[in-house]
Amino acid sequence: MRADLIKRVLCGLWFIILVAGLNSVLTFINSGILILVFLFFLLADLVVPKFAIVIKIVLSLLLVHRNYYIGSFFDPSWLTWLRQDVGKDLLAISKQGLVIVEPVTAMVLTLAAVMLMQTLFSRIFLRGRGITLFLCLGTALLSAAYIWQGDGSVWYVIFYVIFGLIIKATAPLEIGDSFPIGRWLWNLLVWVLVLTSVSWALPDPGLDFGNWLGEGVAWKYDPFAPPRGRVGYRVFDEVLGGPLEEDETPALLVTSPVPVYLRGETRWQYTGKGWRVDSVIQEPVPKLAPKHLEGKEIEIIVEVLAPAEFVFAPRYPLNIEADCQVEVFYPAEVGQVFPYEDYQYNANLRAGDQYRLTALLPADDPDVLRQLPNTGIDSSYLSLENVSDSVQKLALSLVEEETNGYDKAVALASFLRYGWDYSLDTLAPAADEDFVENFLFKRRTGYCVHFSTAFVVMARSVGLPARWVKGYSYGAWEDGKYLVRNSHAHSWAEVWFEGYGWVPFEPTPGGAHLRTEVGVTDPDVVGPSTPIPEDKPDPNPGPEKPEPHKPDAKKPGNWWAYAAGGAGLILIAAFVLLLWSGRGGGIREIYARLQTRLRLFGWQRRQWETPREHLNRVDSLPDRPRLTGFVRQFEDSVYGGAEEPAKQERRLGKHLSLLGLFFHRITHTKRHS
Amino acid sequence: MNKLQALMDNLNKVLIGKESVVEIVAVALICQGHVLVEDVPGLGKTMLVKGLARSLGCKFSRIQFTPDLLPSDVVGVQIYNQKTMEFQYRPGPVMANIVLADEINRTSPKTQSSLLEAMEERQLTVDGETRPLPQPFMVLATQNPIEYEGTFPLPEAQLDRFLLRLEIGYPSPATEVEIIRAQEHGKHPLDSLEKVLEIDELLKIQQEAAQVKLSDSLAAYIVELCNRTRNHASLYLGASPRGSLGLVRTAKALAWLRGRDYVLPDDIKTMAVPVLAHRVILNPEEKLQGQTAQDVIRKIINSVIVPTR
Repeated sequence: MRADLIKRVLCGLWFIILVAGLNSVLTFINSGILILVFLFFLLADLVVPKFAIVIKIVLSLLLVHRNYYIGSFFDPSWLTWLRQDVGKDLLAISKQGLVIVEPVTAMVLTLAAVMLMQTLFSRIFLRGRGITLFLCLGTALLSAAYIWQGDGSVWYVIFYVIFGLIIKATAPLEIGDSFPIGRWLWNLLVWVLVLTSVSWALPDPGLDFGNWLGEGVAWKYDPFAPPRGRVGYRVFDEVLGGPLEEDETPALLVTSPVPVYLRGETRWQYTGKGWRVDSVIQEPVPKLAPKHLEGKEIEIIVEVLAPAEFVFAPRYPLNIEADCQVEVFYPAEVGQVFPYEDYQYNANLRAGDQYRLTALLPADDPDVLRQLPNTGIDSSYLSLENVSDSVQKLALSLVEEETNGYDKAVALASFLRYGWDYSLDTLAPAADEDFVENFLFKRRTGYCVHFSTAFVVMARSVGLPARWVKGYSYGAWEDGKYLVRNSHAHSWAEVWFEGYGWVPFEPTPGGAHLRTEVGVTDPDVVGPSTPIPEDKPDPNPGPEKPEPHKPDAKKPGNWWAYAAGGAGLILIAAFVLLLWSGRGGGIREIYARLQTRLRLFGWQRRQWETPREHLNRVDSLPDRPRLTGFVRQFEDSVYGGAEEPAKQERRLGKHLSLLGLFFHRITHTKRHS
Repeated sequence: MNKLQALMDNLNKVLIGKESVVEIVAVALICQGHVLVEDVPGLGKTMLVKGLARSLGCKFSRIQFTPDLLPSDVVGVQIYNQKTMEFQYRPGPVMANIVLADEINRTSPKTQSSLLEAMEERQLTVDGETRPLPQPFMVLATQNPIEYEGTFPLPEAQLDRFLLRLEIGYPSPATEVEIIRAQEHGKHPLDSLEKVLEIDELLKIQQEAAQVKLSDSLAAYIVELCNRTRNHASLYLGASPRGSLGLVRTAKALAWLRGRDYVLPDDIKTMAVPVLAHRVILNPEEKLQGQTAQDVIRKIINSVIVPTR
């Protein structure tokens, strides 16, 4: 039973690496949830093996229900929805290949796969065979996923292999209950600590277990919690904030002559926590036409790399052609631009879809804008509902000297751009705190969501009609196209100018300048004619190029990371000291050190064994003649009182070094229990 | 050394496939200790003893213990010689270098104790007259472990006088085939044995073996082993200091036999079961559960830390 337990735990640890690695590439579920689920599966297997499968299924259903459905879990009507959702996708998969639209399908499939794999894995593993097989299979699977997706972390592959080798080196697979389990667990712990330390010491291993401990201290499952986890385009904005991690999953591939921001949706109603999702302002059809605007037209081709629900387009799209059905929330014919309406294109875009559009890039001359009033729009865009007084006061104090709307907006944007720090590592405000107030006065760091929300609220405080926009920034220049990843998801703001339309402003530090007016002193501002300064994309945009979400590619790091890294280094140093220091010493010390090394592989002398018995038991140790000679010398001097042999004679071969033993262990499967 | 090796080779010819038993007998010879062979009949106990006597070229006698055997049948009697008009001592079978006491537990305690006294004192007292026994003197007693009817089990105090107890055990099938082949033509390998060791040489060897070094840590190890038998939960009675002395002697002899001038923990471990197992008494409940004293001693060996410093 005990031996069985070890094997299961061991198998579990190894399996987690595999699952997390695959999931980091496929990104179906948050890795943290997946690992927790898996631990529950493991627990079910251990505690109630007979009903484990039932418990696993119920647990999976609970998770699916909590994530995607409302109403009671015990009311079976949600199962009908589940069946329909999954069925739709399965039908699509059978026809079009692996394209998944409903997130619930991804979750169900992932859970099913995990359940199946875990069962198979532990069944076969328990027989004590096929570690090599699993090593090869898992490595192949991880590598294939890595190569196929071209993303995710190669460290999963490395860690999987290393852990597999450790299992092969230390796993007591044919052990009985008499096996000294404590010592073995200690060995395992030492190995894990050493490897963890090594990984800490290496520069940025890029292991992504998701933000699986959640924000703050305690992890609590709450479907209405702020979006935790990764940077990416999300529909739900009612609760903003919380720490985010970069997610390099590709989203779009844009062919465009100039870098452009791609808009998704806009929001207008601030709740104090975020933006209301389902509120739409009913406005009269505007009397404006794009001919009012001067600028150049560009043609853009967008390839969809990950399923999306919206057609992302630059400001003022003139014409859209898609090879899939696109539903336009656009109260007029295509081709006409209504700059103040949410021209939102709903679509079920699947990976591989493509759409082409023509867009107008207006000149946005500051001199023109300075003359325009900020009136003639629905007063909802001036709503100060839920905006705290302190924020309003701050905003008013910042624009005291400005006389027109345009300069006021510039002042506010500049204030935010140059006054507050950008960081993805920020905590969500407490339940009773205002989001913007928390950001401006307490936390003082945040990401695009913080800056743009604060800008909108402050602009309204000084009488400018403003709204919140989200979408993608222009991405990274790769092979003549702009590769837009999840980490390029972005939000900014628009201010209304009568007779002109909505004009975007970029309050986030490091973001591209949508408007020349923001920070004219900034060196990367070149001309007033395009949203992005450069007419041509920089053919080689290095990492220094400021991107909206990466003002500093290396996170400032938190103290515990450094503490753990430091502790790891100390551990490595101690380990090295343990094994290599004082290489002199007498033959007794050499023998003791040899035993320490052997102990790491379960080859050590047991306390009741004589050196000779030990030697006979572990008869597959490398370099036996030398080892036998050494043990004879050891006996001579310890029991026979003989003089210690000369240095040359008591030297142990390199096969008996730590590395030598390690390679010997993984190439020799014979075990001694 | 070579001479003793030749003796062991001789014994191995007689007792095929039992090198470890032969080694222990050789150890007993070096230590001048008495051996209790506990095994069923027909495994070659007598052959072993005969081979030993023949290889040594010394006097061998055999006493078959029966319930009606009298002490005088063992130690000899004073007989009145009418010719010389005086009592004359007629030596019993115990007056030999190597004595095989077959089925020692079949005779009465009185007779048993007459032999056991001779074993311990290495002298005989017949009718108030003390006579020394020849040198070397070694008793190999046998008893059958399965038949208890009509037997008088040896008291613990007397068992302690045996330096070693060993079991020969059945030969492996392959060895048994070899044994059959060796005796197929009515010729016993015993007949071809030659004397390989003089008694003086044996005495010299005994002196050399006593000079073998025993490190302090190993002396402590031996004491710890014996001490454990005294505190062990499964044991009613532990080993006496005579046991630890015996372990030292035998370990030294084994070390000498294996060509070393110092004792290894391996020597001690090899000798622990034959030296200690018959000196301890198992708790009745352990006995009922099928435990044997050997098992317990082995457990103790596998729990005492071997010194490596």
